[in-house]
Amino acid sequence: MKRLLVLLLAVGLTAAACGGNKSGGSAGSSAVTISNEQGTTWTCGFNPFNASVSFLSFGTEYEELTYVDGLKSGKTTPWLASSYAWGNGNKTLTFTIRKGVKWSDGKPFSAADVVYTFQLLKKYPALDLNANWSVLKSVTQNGDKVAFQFKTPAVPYFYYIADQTPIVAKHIWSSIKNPTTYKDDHPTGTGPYTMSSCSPQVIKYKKNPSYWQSGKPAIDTVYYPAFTSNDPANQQLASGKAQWGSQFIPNINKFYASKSPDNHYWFPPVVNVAVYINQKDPVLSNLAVRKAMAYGIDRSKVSQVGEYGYEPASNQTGIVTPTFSDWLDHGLAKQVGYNPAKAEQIVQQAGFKKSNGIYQTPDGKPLSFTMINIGGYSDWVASAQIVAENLKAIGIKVTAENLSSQTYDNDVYNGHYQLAYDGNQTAGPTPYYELRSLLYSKGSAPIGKTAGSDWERYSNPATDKLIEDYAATADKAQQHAIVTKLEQAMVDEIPVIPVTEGVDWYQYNTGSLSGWVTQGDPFARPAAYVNPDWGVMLLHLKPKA
Amino acid sequence: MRFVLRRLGFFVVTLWAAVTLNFLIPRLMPGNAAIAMMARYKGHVNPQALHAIQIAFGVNNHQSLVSAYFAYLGNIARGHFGISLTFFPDTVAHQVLQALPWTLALVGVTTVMAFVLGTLIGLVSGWRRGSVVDGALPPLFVITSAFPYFWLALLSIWLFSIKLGWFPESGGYEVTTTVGWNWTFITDAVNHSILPALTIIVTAIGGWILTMRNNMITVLTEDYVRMARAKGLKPWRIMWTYAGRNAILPNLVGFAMSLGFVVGGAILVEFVFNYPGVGWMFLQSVENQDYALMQALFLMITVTVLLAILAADVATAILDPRTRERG
Amino acid sequence: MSLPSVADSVEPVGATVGSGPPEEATKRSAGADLWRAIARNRKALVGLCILLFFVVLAAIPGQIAPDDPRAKIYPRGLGPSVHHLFGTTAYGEDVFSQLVYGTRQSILIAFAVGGLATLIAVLVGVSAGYLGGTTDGVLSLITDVILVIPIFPLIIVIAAYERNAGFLTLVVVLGVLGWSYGARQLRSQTLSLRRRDFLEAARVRGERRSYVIVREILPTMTSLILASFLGAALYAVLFAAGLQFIGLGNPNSQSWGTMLYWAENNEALGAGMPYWAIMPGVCVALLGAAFALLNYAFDEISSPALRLRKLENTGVDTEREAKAAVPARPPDPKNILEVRNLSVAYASEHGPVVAVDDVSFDLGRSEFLGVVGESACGKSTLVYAVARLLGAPLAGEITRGQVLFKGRDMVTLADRELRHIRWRDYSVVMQSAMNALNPVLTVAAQMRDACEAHSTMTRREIEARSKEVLRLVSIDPVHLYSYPHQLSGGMRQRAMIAMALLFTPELIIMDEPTSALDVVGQRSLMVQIKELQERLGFAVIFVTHDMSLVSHFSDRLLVMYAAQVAELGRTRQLFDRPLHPYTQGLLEAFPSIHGAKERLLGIPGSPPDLLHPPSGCRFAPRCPHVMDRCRAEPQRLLEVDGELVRCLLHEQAAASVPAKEGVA
Repeated sequence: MKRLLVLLLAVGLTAAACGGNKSGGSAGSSAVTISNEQGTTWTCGFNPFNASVSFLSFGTEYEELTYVDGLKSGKTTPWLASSYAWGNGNKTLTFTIRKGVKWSDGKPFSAADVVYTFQLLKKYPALDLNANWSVLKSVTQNGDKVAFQFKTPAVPYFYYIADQTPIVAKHIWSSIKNPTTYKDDHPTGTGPYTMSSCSPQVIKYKKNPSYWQSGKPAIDTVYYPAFTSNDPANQQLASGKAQWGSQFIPNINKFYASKSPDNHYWFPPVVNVAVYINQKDPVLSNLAVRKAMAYGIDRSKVSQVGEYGYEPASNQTGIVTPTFSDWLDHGLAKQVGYNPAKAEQIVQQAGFKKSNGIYQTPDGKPLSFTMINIGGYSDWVASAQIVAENLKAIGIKVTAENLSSQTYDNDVYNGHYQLAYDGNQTAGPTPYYELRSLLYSKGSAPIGKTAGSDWERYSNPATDKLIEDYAATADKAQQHAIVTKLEQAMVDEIPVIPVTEGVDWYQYNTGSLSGWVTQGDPFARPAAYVNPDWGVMLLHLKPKA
Repeated sequence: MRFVLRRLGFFVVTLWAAVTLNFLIPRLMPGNAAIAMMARYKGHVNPQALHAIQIAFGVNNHQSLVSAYFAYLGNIARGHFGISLTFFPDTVAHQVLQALPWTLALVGVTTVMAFVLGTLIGLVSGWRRGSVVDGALPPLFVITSAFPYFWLALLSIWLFSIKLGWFPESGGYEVTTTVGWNWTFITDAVNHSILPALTIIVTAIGGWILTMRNNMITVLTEDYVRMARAKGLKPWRIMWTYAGRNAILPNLVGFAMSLGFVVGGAILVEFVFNYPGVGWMFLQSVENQDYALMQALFLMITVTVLLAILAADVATAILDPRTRERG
Repeated sequence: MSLPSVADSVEPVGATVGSGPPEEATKRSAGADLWRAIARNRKALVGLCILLFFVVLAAIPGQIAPDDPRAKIYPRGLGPSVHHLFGTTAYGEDVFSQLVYGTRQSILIAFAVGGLATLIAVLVGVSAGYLGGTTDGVLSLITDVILVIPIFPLIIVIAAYERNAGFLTLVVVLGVLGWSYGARQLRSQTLSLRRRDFLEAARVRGERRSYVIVREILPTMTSLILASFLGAALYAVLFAAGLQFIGLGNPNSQSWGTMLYWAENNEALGAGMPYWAIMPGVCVALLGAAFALLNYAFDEISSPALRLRKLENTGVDTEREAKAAVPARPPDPKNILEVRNLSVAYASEHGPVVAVDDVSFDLGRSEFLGVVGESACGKSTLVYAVARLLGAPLAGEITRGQVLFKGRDMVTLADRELRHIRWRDYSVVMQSAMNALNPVLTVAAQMRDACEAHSTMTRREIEARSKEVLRLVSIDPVHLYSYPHQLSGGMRQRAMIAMALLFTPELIIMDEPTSALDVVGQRSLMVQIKELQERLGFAVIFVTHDMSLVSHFSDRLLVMYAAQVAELGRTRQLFDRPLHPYTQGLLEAFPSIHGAKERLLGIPGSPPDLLHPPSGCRFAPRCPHVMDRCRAEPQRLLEVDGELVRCLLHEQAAASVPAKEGVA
């Protein structure tokens, strides 16, 4: 009521109220404002095991054992663990826990907290978002060392255990009755920042004065406003009110970069956006059809028109370049390119006949498919339209069907679709992670059952074997050899058609701050929504003199 | 008495219809909350974790429709709206309560202002028929009432916020402002509400002007207005007490209903202005298949409408003595 | 007056046909008349033109748009040019072509939803109104419930879950949820029509229900049905655009809402493609405005009170000229009132209607003048003109003449001066106190505001005076604080007379104050009025169609026929020896029982249409003594034995023509 009255009163005082337009923090203290549209207001919960809010605390309050840089093929940096070592045929992973680290409430951090964290995940599977305990056998403490025993060799799981699991304080969490529904509105962590205030509209982080990396962080305050739609978030960036952006800005040169010489952007590719092809579809299970489609899509046009060129064209191997260029077999990458004539040739050779501009299978079924996509992702909708136009030109009719995201996901997870325009794969520090989520049939499920990965229902025992072999080796050369074979499978069997390369959206303003991630120095994935990388970024930022 | 009974019947039936609709809609829709949950995590959740989360949510229990319905009715009666999926693990009630003041302050106040302003303009144009005011304002606002609200809002933001810099372009307040009952925050919040408020008023006022003007013109033909003139009363007295007071009666329930539709109307406002109210929250709940939240909001909207109509009945009874006795 | 339900409030007061003048209530107002009304209404014309423009675009987009709207063949974000009127989109499509192609969906949605909603509204509304009873109860309840269900949120829920919320979904959802408002209006309209004569007639003829509904009811409601259609169409266009804008439509479809969605998602405004974002909104706004304007116009057409008619200069003298034409003869101080050559005209769609034509009469102090005549002969207009109370709904204007009240010309008196003498010096009693008393104020309040306007009486004095006048008309003062509806019919009339006596004015103008009462009530009220007049000494102008009633009380009678004075003389004389055949007819007429409307049996036929009065004697078509000369020329007033009469029969007996001076 009070507010109502105040508003009524004050709307009349327009002129009086219009004056004060302030920006940035007050003098003497440094601040960075993040503009990252999440489509939601903040709940002011910071539970690092709640996937919908963990990005707000993991990296700032909560930290990982070892930082893994996804843009440098998994280069590691010791973090809460000062070192790690594999042993026992890649079945034992031992971390040495850093000394002198304190929780933000002043209590000392120790190896016991690490063990407790993993026991917590074991006890409450709902918290174990990366399914660590599907491969773990035990986690034990020995002084300042913590040993992880695996059921089988599990080299790729290093990433999840060392980099993707936030470590929480035993003295806090052991008294929590139900960690699954625990809100954690005042998180206690080891990280460089503490949550200072939170409202549904904005979270304010203050620097942790007793942070273990002495002298850091340099920025006093971090503002993280909630944006419910893209537009206002983009405006904040363009106007310079926010310095760190992490979203798609259409026409970025005109809308953002041209507004200030301090405005910059870089979009490092991390994962493919691909056409998933349902392998169980009677027509699409025909390799010739899939091949023709792979030749028929003009990836660079999709990239240029649908994505403003921000997302580069993909290649059929599934290796995202330049991020993972050293993993790419260039010969394979060139094999399947845009070639409509070849596409038509392939279907013709397979005995398909054209009728009314559309090819028909030898038994008379037209090559006419529906491709579902998420109506809310406007750039993907535009891209899907171009894909459909491309395929129409080679005699394959594709009708794009725009769905709400939940309907879409429902269909994809259950395999109720023919084609899907998607980028749901897991990104990781090496291309293996994405290829695994595309090709590993043990992550899949029959049509009608919810699949956790391999949504196109591709299944090849040889490929599965390769994926399992990779898990058993920490040897780079062997890993590369295996990935090359997986690339071969992608090119030969076309389980999906990578179209463009999904990127980390990243805009930054160098007006008042320096130390940003650049293409020349990709010390972290630069999008604010990537954890724990955003914490690494915040530690690098410095106010300009 | 018969009237009161009929009215009561109407309230009960409407409430029941809304509650039932509320129950049925999510159950007739494809997909389920668990999938929605998985979608929100963008595939980052392993199936076991998902299963555990589903159990935590209680989305996986298979009740029969009928028993689910009665359980639902029971929960509603006790005011248990459950846990929000979107704002997990927060309760629906908490989320709604903290978003509601924003919507009420912005859209509620603006709706009242639009009604008052529109009624006044309608009153004057009806009274001064054929005058400049009457010739200009009603047609003008009838046309602006046909503007798509969100479009007007987008253009205003572009023009007044981005080009001219007069108003902030979005949000409820500046992110660097500390929320609290202090002058800085209040002026900041007011400053942020001006542009959305103006755009709402411009698009909403036309209807009120037109109905009030028409009512006024009709009332002016009544004998009691002529009688008032015959009595030599001052024009303003005739305008207010004789014409205006009678002309406004039919608009009261309409106004009440518009108050009830504040939340629905807030959806686009809050979408465009990134305003932290329940309208946007509703959209969010729909997107996320957050049934608990959606049902609570939908119910809240309906109950508000009914309460507002009840209030209008009371107001009508106060303003119009005839209704008091015929009840 | 029933209690307001949800809907009562939603509809404009004047929406029911019942309030319109009789000519509007007949069912022929359908086709041709409607078109004529549209053609005359500027708002309707503008709306119609815009609508037509878009319909053409929607019908033949291929002929108008230069490009395939989806062809991504141009550079992105081009500015406006000859080739691209509104530039190109971020995908290199031509904005103008997209606009043209987008028209179709908006128009289709508007018409489909409008049609569906109106169909349901007509079915539900008319059935409820016509069938009544339980059907009405159930249907009204459903309508009310739908009316309060929050539509927009519900549509969002449905659109979000419906795969590919496309055209059909939108139409069905918007149509099924958007009919309730129209249904309410149609229902109350039908209710008010039910008791109409022509429906009674159809029922008596034994027509089937469906026939009655389709042939008799629906045509009379054309404007309302159209209004309901337009309202639904407008809301459909806006809702659909809103849904598509927030991404709940099919983004691959070609529509304005979708264009806005894409424009917004590509920051069209901030990134140099403003027309992409502005133009679709302009189109929605234009189409919406077209519907809104048409709706506004139909509102005016279907409820005539909303139409502002102005007397245009069509041969009728203006006030100023009229004044100049009347010679300044000093008023006789014996007279409280002298009306000289008074003419009053109304504006109508077909030109001015002269409702009072050159009427002159005098009224002495304490004199009781009866003004008699059939309905619509101008007698009420005459007295309201005298009282300077013309205006809606009698939107007449004094076009010439003088009204000298106590020597001052009321016609030229400024409103403020007039206000001072109103009620103090002359007051008015109206036909129905039910209508003339403000329903929302107590009798006391209505007496008080009159007192406050003209005196410095204290509250207590006002109360005392109010009670006093109530006692004068034999009402127990306990009723002072009653609301009008709490009093019986007779009491109300008395209360109004009491109110007129507050300042014991010198003149009270009474417009059929007894006609709402039964015969017994009439008599006793008349007796009371006469007593009061004799006691307090005010003059009375008493308008009635019941000559026999007034004749017992009046000193003189003025008989009006077709806007003119037919005869004016002393009551006794006029009663014993009526000169004008019309007066004779009135006297032979059966006295009325109910008051207002029944035909006078004594005179066949009905009064002439004042828009086209007969060129000769206006009574000629009905006159039993009609002669050729009667039809040839207008008749003058003749003075016969101190009486005035407008009839050739008495030409020989006539002495002079006193009332004709100053007339060209």
